[in-house]
Amino acid sequence: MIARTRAALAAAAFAFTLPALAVDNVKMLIPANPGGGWDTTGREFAKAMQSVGAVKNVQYDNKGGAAGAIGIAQFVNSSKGDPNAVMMGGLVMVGGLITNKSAVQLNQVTPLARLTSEWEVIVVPASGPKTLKELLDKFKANPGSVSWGGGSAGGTDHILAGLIAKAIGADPTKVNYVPFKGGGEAVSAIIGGHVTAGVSGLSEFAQHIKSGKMRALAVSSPKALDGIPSLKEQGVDVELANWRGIWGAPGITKAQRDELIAAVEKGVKSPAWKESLKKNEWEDFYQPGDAFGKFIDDENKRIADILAALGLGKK
Amino acid sequence: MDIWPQLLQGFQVALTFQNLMFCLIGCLLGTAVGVLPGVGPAVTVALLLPITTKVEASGALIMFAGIYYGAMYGGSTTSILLNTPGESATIVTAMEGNQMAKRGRAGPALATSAIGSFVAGTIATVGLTFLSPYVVELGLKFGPPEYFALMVLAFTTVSAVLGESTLRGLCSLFLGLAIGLVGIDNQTGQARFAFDVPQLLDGIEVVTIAVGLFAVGETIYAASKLGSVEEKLEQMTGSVWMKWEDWKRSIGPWIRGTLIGFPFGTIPAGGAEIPTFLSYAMEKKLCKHPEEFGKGAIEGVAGPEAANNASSTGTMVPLLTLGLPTSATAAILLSAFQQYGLQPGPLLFETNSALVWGLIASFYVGNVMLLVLNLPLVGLWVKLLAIPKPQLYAGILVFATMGVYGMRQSAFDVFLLYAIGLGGFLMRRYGFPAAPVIVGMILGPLAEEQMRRSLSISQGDWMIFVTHGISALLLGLTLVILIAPLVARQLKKKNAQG
Amino acid sequence: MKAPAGQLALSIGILAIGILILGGSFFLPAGGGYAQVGPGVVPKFVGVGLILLGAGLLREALTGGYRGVDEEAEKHLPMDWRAFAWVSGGIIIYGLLVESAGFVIASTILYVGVARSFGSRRWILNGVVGVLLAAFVFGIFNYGLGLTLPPGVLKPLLP
Repeated sequence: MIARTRAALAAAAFAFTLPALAVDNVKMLIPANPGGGWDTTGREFAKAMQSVGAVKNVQYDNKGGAAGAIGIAQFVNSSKGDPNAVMMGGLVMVGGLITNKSAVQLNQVTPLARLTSEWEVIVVPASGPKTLKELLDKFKANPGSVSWGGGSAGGTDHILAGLIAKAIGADPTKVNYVPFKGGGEAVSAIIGGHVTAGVSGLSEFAQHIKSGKMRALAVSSPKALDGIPSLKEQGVDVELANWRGIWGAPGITKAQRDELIAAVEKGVKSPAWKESLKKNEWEDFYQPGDAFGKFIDDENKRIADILAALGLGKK
Repeated sequence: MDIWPQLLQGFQVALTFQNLMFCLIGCLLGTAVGVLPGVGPAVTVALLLPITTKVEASGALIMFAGIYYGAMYGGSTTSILLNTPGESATIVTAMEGNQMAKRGRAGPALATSAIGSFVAGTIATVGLTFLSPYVVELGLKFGPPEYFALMVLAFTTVSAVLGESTLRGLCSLFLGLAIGLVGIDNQTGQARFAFDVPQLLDGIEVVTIAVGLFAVGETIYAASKLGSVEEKLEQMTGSVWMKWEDWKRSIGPWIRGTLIGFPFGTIPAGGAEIPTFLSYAMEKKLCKHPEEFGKGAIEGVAGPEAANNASSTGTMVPLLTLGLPTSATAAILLSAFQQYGLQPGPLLFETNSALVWGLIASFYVGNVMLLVLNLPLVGLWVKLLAIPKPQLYAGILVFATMGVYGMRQSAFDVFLLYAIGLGGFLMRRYGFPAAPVIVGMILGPLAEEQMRRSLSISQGDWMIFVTHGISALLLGLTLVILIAPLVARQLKKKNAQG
Repeated sequence: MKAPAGQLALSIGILAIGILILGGSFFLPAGGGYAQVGPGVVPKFVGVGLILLGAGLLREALTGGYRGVDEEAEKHLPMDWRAFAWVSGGIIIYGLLVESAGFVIASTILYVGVARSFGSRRWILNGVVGVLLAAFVFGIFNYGLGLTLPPGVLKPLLP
């Protein structure tokens, strides 16, 4: 009874607002707890869209857990066909859905746009190997002796370590990967010299690289960044962006999708967004609509392969 | 380095009217989120981050820091009065604090926790002011093997909370260890005992267990076993304030709690809970009235409360000197710095000396404020207990469910909470202590993780735990703690015979 | 002397949890990786521990009951199943309704239910207090912290 009244109310409200903008009241699902990367990106991007009037009100809904698997499951189940619902997410979710064997997959939601990227960096303690070559030679000679510290198993950092091993012709399962949790655990293990090398987002390590407590050997971007040469430039054919993007609900019409994409584009072009990117040291990685959809498919394949090679998740 | 002039300069920043206001708002907010179970300082600061675009750096950072240590003051209040820890670092406080409240000594319990927090916060700030560089050096020597040894040492403290029956106490501990197993194994990404329930993949939150065992279990027990009994519930008898005897018994624990809590804050060893366990165990050992423990010993409130406050100030040491966050809240404070384009670290002390020292000075100011705020509140808080039992317990459950639901906004967690509440009820009915469950579920996963990390680094060589100096030292200490009472007993026996 | 049924059941329950964990641990790799200690090792330890402790409890229960637990005294504190049902119902209904009917309604029902379980029959007073308390918490969350608790059917009333 209650549900039916609600549905009727919603239908009435919908019919009433249809001629105007469909994106008056956006409901943004953030599949992570408040304070994390997706949360900040989502809230800042929503504000940017509001700043140029692309959307009016935004209501945030944090649904954290299992690398986004819980959030996306709820999004697919409860927002089907809702032209006002959007969801944040990113590369971590691609991996998370695979390793958690989630029933819901990213191809069930409607890609709107890729927004930002953060590149990864490989570091060593100040007393560690001088060059990437030195580190990789050591790895090739005795893989176990090189311990790689980074974020959780199967996450972006682990994936990068695996991709590097694969690119230099080593067995990815031979990577001695030591997962740490956030909150400085990995940083202190690297600075303290307890692991041989460290992998993480560049912004997380940047200050320690600047202060000389860590030495940066390579970044995962196509070209050098902040004076750190890229993997590709050093002959390791790997590129990995920790990207974040935004999705619409499943089952929305093409017109509704285009309207959301238009709103997103306005947000991306707003000065407020440029400001956010700069402040948070995110790189603009904008790619809208179908191109983004194809990008996700490719990433999905690549990540599934490497995770299977690392012994996480099935092919 | 001349610290005094810089500190003086810091006070000039902290004592401006505007910054005093920010400090006050932070302390008030912190107390509020501390009182509410489930809402922690980390989430609060995260949600307030957007104000960084409107407020200048020193004001915002002073406020955020105030929220952090203010929460430690507030968290103890509900622990003591309602047996419902507002923060997981105040779970230990609930054990003795609530017992004190049940014996009409809620006033002194709240007072010793507020004053203890003040003493600890202030001493820790002095430590932060003068000892930072040395403490950080020591902290970096801690790698996985050292942390493992530390966790093993922490496990010995469980003996202090086992209760009257070792068998049932150990049972509680192992149930806690079992709960700690649930979720994705951090080292391999494999799900363990999650039974394909997605909500269990991230494991079970300590807060859910604590609120379930304490608040919900307590309520179910009180309703279905004691409802018919006319029980004078937690009536105040005697003074609201601490007597001379209470002061005398609190001072030692305050100081020792601080000394335990502060260094723990400076290393990423898994939060402010562990130093509170250690402090509790230590006070129980040292206390002249060990028989009072479990029945409302004031030392058991004073020590852990000092420890959790000192620990929250301790996290500022690596944060400010290295830009290294050692707790969830510290990680968000770090991003607050970054919002202003500031990188905490040695350079910041030179380039933004006024800001850093202003922040440090604000800790002294904030602790005074919190003391002034909290002491008068004691009288008000204890009046809560005058609320009739039906309405009081109903209110507790509304807050408990809100906290657990609000954390992840998942109805699943509410049902989980109920199941754990039933467990808590059974444990209470059959004389199982609840605290070891919490100890087990916090220490178990940390110990396992650090052990496997160490072994991964050493490629399976167990000798890593004894070839590392600090680790060997800590393990040796553990052995002494375990063996000393046995040896003492033997000697006593011999003396008695001879 | 007859062993107390509750204690027997509880001991067997703990024994069963131990067996479940030990059994489950065999589905997890015990070795693997450079650590050579896989995700299956610690669960084995925990499982065996619980089985031993459960057996210990069972022995106590069969030989005169848990030490230090006075089953005679318990007889003077009979289980009030009606009160138990009121609390349990309150929490379960809260879990069922919080997302559909909304936080304020679910919390109010919980409040009234728990108060009833302690024998309070002042339905109107409890209802009013419950609504006010829930609305206050809701306000802090939604407007103070920007964390959206579900408004449910009361959504049209929101400012």
